[in-house]
Amino acid sequence: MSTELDERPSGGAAEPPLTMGIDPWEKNWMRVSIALLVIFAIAITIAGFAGGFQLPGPESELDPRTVTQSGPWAQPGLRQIGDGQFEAYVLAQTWNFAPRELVVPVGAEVDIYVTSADLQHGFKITDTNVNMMVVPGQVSKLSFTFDDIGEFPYICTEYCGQGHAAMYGTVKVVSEADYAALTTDTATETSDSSATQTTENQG
Amino acid sequence: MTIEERPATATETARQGYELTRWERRFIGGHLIIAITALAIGSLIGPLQALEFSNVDLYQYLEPVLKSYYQGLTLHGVLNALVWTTFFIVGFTNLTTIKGLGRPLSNPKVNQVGFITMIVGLVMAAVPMLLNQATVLYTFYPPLEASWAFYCGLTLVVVGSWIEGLGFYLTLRAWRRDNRGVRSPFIALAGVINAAMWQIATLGIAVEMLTMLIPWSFGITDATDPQLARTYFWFTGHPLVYFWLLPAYVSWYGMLPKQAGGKLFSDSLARLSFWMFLLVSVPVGFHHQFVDPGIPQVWKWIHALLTYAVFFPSMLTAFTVIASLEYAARRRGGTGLIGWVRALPWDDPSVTAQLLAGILFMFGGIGGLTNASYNINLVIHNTAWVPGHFHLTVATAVTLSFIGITYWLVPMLMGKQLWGRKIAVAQSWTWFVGMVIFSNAMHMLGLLGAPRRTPLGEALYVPDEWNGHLLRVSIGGTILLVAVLMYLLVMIKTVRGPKVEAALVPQMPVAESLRDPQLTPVWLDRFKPWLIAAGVLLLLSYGPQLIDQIVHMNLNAPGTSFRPW
Amino acid sequence: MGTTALDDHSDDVSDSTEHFKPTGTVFVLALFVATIILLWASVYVILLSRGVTL
Ligand code: HEM
Ligand SMILES: [Cu+2]
Ligand SMILES: [Cu+2]
Repeated sequence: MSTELDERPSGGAAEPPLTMGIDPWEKNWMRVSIALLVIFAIAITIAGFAGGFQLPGPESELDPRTVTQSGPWAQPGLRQIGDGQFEAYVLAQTWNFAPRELVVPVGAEVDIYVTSADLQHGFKITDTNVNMMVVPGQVSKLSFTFDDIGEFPYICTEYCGQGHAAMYGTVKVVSEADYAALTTDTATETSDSSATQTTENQG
Repeated sequence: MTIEERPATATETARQGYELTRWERRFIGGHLIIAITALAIGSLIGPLQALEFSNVDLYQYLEPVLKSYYQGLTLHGVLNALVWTTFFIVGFTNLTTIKGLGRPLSNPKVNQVGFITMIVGLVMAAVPMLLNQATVLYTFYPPLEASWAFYCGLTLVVVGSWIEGLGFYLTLRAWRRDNRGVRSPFIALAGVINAAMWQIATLGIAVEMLTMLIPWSFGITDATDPQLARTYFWFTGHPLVYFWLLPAYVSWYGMLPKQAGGKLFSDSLARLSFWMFLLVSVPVGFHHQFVDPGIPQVWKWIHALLTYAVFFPSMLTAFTVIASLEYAARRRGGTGLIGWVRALPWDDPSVTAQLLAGILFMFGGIGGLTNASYNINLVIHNTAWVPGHFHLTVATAVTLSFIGITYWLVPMLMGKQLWGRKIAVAQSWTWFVGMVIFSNAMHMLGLLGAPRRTPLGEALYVPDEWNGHLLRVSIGGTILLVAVLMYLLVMIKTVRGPKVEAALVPQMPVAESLRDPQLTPVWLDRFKPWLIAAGVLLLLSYGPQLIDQIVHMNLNAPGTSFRPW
Repeated sequence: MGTTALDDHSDDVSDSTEHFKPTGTVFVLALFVATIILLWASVYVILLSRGVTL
């Protein structure tokens, strides 16, 4: 009996043992590959579970049809919850984010909650590790500390229709002094004005 | 397809000498015509996208056919990634089954029904896409709502591919009954393993279509659960990439060594890596959902590790394939640590295409490992990096390999010679150069934060920093356009060329292995243990989350009240 | 088209893994591993430099 790939007779008196017949070099290559993967696995595991480089996970669920009627997303925006600590509620809706701007003092720790009132969207803050899918019915959450002064656009990274390329907002990280000046003027302005801004821009 | 010419009833035809019947050539050719047409249309849209990035808007001139960047992108994704690949693969697996086993299909009617189902599905899905009624991209995430015909059409394409897969399996089984104790020929076994993997993998998309999207698109239900839909989709979505890749591996393992003048370095490891793909291709889908809200971190982490496991057989492939090539090159007189590479037959367009495909795949692999690395995904998820990555894998490793295969397969099926060998060689190099520029620029853009699926030329937030890379995307895309046109030229000229005498027609290359395959252990030739293991692994890795998400299913996302594109 | 490519090397059966050391392969793959580590680590470093997402 012979096979296509080989015309040598393989039966006969001295049947050779069935082995993988792995070349020693190839065996070493398998060891190297496994070692490499194990090292990488350790690196990401440490970064994830000890280093704080976490992914979003189940936060809470809601009804996208009524999300704008009550609760935090009826008034999306930034709220201070402690010293240097904030919560940001961002609503994604074709084709913009409410609010369009989040102004925070440098060093602010912000819990960012995003949800969608209609389609799937994405939420990625440029130059940071904040990157989340925004899925109707789900709340996406990551926390981030803004240690650098500057402007950081948050961009919709998932196709959501015709206006997708225009869908973004900006995190403005300002100095403590600038922030103090801003907040003493209008204590609650940030969230209110951006909420109105959003409605205006929906045309 | 006409039915008048049937393959002869299964006889004990010697495999080596088996010649394809006219029916078989036309049947396989039918798959290829559809595949190549899809690639032609689909990849001609790619450069439009690439040029848009530098504000060269060609869409305005195409207005009657293409209403938007996104309609084009939907066609580009579906035609290239779903139609070109699936039709080519099914056609090619017909070939590897028939020629690998040296016998006709055991139930050609089954394959015929499968093929017709695929065609019906394709037409059904194409019409709404062309009418701008399914501009939902190839991932069709709800609650973006396409026409019902789009969902039903794609479902039929998948069902058709299942039916053909059954035909391959039945043929292999018939061969085994007649050849007890003989190791199944590698290329035939590998094709059937891929078909089996595909049947398991597409259960996700089938459930998504049948239980959620199709009822919704007919108005039977009025909303969807987008998170669950994503989980279903990516159950299929990752193994989909292995479904594309494995036929290229069949060629790299089982044909390329022969074309290069050598042998398969290790038959047993070639088989082992295919079985490992059957085992671990599917339970890794959460690596596409790392930044999804609805999935616990620990499950994402488990799938990250399983994805590392599926990287392993590709590392084995790298060794076996490169060693097979080195063996060939040294037989051809190649010398040196690296100099042997020059001794490979670079004047053979089919070899060149596959070698260049393989080189870029190494970089595609590195990108894939990066994407799969759990929290590293935060850096690149849904950025331009991702299309940068998969244009190295599916759009080059797979596509350029398939192109290389057509360089011998199309002439072989038609009894002709390849037209313009030099142009065909240059075509691969052009593709390679264009893709290096394009893909590198896309990766860089992604690291800088540019989103994917976005006409960046019109986007409002593009900083100056991105401009150089955007320009390089356009340059790479233009070079790729030239490569696509060269390929179509070679194909059209070949098909329209004269028939030549049999001695001049290319033959199917099938590599022998260095070692007698009969020495390969029996467990590398048996479906049962591997299928059971795959099922168990699937239950462990997906079961708890799937059950949880299905039990808590909430059909509360109706989408927009207007058509959003 | 009477024969297939299979017939070509049917007398080369004496070839075996013993006689062929894939040194060039090992060299290419060493370069590959170095590239994997370099590129992968560079993105890992970008992750680390962009701040935790606790
Ligand atoms: C021939 C030259 C090609 C060029 C210039 C090209 C260009 C592009 C560009 C610029 C994008 C990104 C669009 C965006 O994210 O906004 C894209 C997406 C894509 N391309 Fe290509 N491409 C080419 C060929 C191919 C081939 C051969 C395949 C597959 C076999 C392919 C598969 C895809 C897929 C699946 C997407 C993603 C679509 C989506 O995000 O929905 N491309 N292409
Ligand atoms: Cu969007
Ligand atoms: Cu994947």
